[in-house]
Amino acid sequence: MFDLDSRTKDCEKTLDELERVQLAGEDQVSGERLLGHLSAEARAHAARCLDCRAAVEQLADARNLLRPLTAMQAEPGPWFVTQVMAKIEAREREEEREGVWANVRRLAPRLVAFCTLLLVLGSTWAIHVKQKEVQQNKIEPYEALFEPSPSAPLNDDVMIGARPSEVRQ
Amino acid sequence: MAKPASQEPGRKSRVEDDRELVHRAQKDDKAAFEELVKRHQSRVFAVAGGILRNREDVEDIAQQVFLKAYFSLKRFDQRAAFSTWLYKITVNECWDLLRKRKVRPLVFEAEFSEEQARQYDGMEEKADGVPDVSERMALRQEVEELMECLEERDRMMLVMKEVQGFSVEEIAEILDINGNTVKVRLFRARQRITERVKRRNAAGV
Repeated sequence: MFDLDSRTKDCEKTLDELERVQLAGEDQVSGERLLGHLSAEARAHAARCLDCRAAVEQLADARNLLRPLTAMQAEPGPWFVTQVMAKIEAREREEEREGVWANVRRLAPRLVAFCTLLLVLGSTWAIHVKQKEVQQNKIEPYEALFEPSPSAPLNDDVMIGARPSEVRQ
Repeated sequence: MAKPASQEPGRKSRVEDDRELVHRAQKDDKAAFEELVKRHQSRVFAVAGGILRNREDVEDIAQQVFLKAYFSLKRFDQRAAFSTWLYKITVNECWDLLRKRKVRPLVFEAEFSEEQARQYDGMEEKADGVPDVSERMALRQEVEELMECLEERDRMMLVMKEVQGFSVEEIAEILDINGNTVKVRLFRARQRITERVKRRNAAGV
């Protein structure tokens, strides 16, 4: 068996060239046929080097072994391209439709947070303004709303305060 | 069979054409992308077919690959060839599918449906000496049995190299490994299957 670690530079060159040999068609491949595609230098080396010659035969055997796999390769049907383009268009339409709602869904948490912040700030500001007004005595404090307003004095009170001479008349 | 990339005539100009098409497709030119699909569909099928066996899976994966390519195209910087990038996506999608199903690739299974068999049967006339569909399927299954002794990655590399015609450099780029590693693994994979055949023949199987 070819020991890859013991290959020389010439072996490497020959094996490199061998890997590049591509034979079209499904004909049986032979070692001789592969050698025919190598450079004169590589051929000369393969003639001297048993390991490289064995590698050539191995490559030929492997290719012949794998030939049945080439026979039934999957091929695209006649409508494949049309199907692909149709799927692309369908997906683009779907993305466009979802675009608005997707943005709303995406932004919803931020919107909620923003509205909450607005609410908190607004409430804080309103309370602050009211407190300021109370401090400046522009309006009664809230508690004053629940106290009865000072009513007009009763006549009885006026009479009590009147002198007797004023009452007789 | 899809021609080996390295043998396609005017490969350099084709790569340049691809660059131009990709550039246009990146600017939302759908016709350009459609052209790319037409050019590369066969090879994507071949690559996926080398890993998966079921025709429906191959077709699903191929569609997924092109969809993914389309929607990621604007992020593709064209440092590698478009074809290499595409085949990388193909390999990854196939492996993802197999991982999800926890199935080994290239497992010996007769997965060809009747429809597929009819399709292949219709493709060529039966002549003396030419194996018919069932014989070809049997041969193929035999080969897949032989390859069971290989690691999954080595099997895939061997199929890509010897069946689909990728070069060592292309395989290295697609699988994201060193070129020398590819050569060594290919060499060892071939050694193993040819040894296995010899042992089998010696045993008279």
